[in-house]
Amino acid sequence: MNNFLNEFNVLECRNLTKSYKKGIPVLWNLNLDIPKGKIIGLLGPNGCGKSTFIKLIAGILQPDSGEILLCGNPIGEKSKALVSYLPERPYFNGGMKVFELLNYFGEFYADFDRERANGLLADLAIDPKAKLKTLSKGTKEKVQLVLVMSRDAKLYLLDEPIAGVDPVAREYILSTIVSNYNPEASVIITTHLITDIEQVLDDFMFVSFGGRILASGNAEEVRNETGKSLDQLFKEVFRC
Amino acid sequence: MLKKLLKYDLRYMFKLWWIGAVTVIGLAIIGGFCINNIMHPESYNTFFVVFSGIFLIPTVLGISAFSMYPLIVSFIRMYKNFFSDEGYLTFTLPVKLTTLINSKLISTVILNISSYFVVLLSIFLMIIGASNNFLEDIGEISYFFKDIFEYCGIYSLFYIVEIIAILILATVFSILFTFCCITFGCIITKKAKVIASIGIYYAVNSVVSFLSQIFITFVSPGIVACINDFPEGNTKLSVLLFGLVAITFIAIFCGLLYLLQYYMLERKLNLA
Amino acid sequence: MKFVKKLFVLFLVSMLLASTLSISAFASEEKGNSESNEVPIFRIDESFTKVTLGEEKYIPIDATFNYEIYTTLKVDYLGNNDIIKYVDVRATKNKLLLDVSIHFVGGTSMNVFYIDSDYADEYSKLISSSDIQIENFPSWDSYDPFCFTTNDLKDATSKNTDFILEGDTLLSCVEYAIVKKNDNFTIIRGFLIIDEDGNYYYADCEKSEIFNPYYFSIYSTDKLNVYKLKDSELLSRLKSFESERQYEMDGTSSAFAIGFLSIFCGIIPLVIAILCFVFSFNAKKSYKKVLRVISLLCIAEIILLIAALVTALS
Repeated sequence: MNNFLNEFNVLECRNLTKSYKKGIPVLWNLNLDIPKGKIIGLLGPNGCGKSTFIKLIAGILQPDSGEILLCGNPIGEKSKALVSYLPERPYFNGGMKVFELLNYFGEFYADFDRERANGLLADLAIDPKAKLKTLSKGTKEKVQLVLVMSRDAKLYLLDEPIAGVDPVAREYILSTIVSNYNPEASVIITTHLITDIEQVLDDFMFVSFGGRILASGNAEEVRNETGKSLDQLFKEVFRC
Repeated sequence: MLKKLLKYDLRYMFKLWWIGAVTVIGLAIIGGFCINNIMHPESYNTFFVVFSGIFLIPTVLGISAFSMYPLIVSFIRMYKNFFSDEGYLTFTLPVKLTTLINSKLISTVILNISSYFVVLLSIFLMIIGASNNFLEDIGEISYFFKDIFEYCGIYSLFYIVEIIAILILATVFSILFTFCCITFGCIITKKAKVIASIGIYYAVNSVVSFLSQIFITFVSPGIVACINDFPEGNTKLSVLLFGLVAITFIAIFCGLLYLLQYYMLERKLNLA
Repeated sequence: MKFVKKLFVLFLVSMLLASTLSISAFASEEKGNSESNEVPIFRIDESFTKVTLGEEKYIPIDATFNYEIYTTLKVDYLGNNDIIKYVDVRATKNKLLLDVSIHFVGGTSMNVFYIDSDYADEYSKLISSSDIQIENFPSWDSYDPFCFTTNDLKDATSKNTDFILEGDTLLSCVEYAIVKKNDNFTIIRGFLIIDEDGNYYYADCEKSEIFNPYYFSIYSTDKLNVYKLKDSELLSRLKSFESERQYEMDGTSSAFAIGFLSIFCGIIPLVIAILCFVFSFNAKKSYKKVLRVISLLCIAEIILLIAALVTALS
């Protein structure tokens, strides 16, 4: 397995450590660089620190020690403007309507593309005047994805983007991720549905407990070399 | 960014406020007439007097409930915005943490002060309704203020500014205190965050009340005696300076609470 | 969390320290008061002119009235016990004035008032002074309120002369007393009475022979001159009167209150200022500003407190 090439990086982590309880680190001295223009899958068992890592980049959590730089900016106001984060659960005020949420995003994010958002909503047959709390769980997740992918961010963090949606919508989401490809931006996806996601991945990382990277590399190259899918490799690496 | 956050916070907080305000003012007007009817029955009609008495109950309850509205709404807004799933959106917005805290604080202060005005207006309307000779009663009130201004002279303007500053700072202090209790409760528990927050609020409030009782029982008589011993000539200036001391003192504790709130949100927040 | 814990512990310790100091100061004040309340012996000679209370000497004076608390003293009469049944001596709280009731075997009695000889001049100056003040009467420590009936007042004012008080029917009560006052003595010049119709009456004590508020409503039938007030200077003074001295507190002292204020509003902010300033050096940028603002506020508050106390006590 290869390490990443030393290109211009959209994300750099140095000696990143985070623990929720004393003496039990979730991430321990993690060093990682994410180059731009890549779709990277962060794959690992439950509780290995994937979501924690994502939250640290998004600025929701503060590391105990270490440094995260996003396009050279430490995590803060500037970096949050460059990151588009999709958490695994709906995070908006249910009392708002879809178009009000679009207005909200448009006000706070300078890179939000309203036209693209409206187009995506139309493709997914979501009524902009509908109240968010009246939508189904799957539709809410679709709305969230539309908001996230309608931004021209430098780094997209998608935490389980296809977990709660139907297979047809899943296809659409994956094609949206790919069609949104921007050579200046990168996408980090965490998921358990490796079979569905591996087709869109450029690179992957197998992450174990404590944030240890057990394997990483280019998805296509690894499939060609080993003759196995990422899903099969994942099962081999993390066999109980 | 602060203006944008304030826009959404104020929109949320004042959504139902108008309905409550109009209802309370309406109840107060009718309540005033009910009190008038009880105190000065023109023709003694038992049913009318009893009805007036019964109608006062929802009037008083309405005013009391409305005065609780700012606390409840700000509690809900802060909890949902920071500590529920909405927190994922709030804390990923490209704004500083201080801006987020300031937005909540300013919007809650505006809500509180607006509610104070409505409650005061309601009480005033009840007094007007209850009074048989409104102009005379207003005259008494204006005479009272005139006496104060005559006695205090130019100092009365400074006293008014000080009282307003103390009221605002005290409001800020109580809001920051509530915020800290909510934050602390949500940080230390994963489940039952609301109950933990309310529990901490009442526990700390009880401790502060206990200490205040000690102060009132043992110290305030001495302070009153101390004030009584002050030479008359310097009373007005010394009261002005003591007012400034009180303002600075409250401001210090507001600053400490703000710092505590910032620290807890920055270092200890963990959205599950 | 360590920083928060330290702050919290410091705050608790400060509050406990302040409370302990306050309580111990209060307790020592009370102990001091009780110690000083040991009753000295009052000695009176047969001529009733030479009296001593402990080491202090007293001389007789004309009728005087004082609202302070009386303390009953032990009596040692050195004269002829055949004519004296008993002597009842009361002293004011500062023991500068004595009210001596001498009850004779035959059933008669007389009251003699004595003053500490060192203060006789001061008292005389106060008697002849024309500087009067108005005080709230109910705030005084009198257990029998001094009251007139409304009809009595109207009768008196219609005659515009003397008025004889009888009984203690309570209808309209004394609201204010007109006094001459200095640090050691308060002399009642008269009373302001307000009846239920809101009319003001002035009851003149200086022309009365003997007037004692503790006994008047029950025992005395002394004459009291009562005048109805119209556009009187005293009435306008009453309306602008601000009741600054509504309460006279026992067992507390100004020094104690100043001490508590100094600790609570002085030392605690000083400690907070020092801590915040020290922490600000190693703190993150976002904390630095707030910590230094808090330090500055603490310093400003201490300066203001010193200014306020100096202004108040000068």
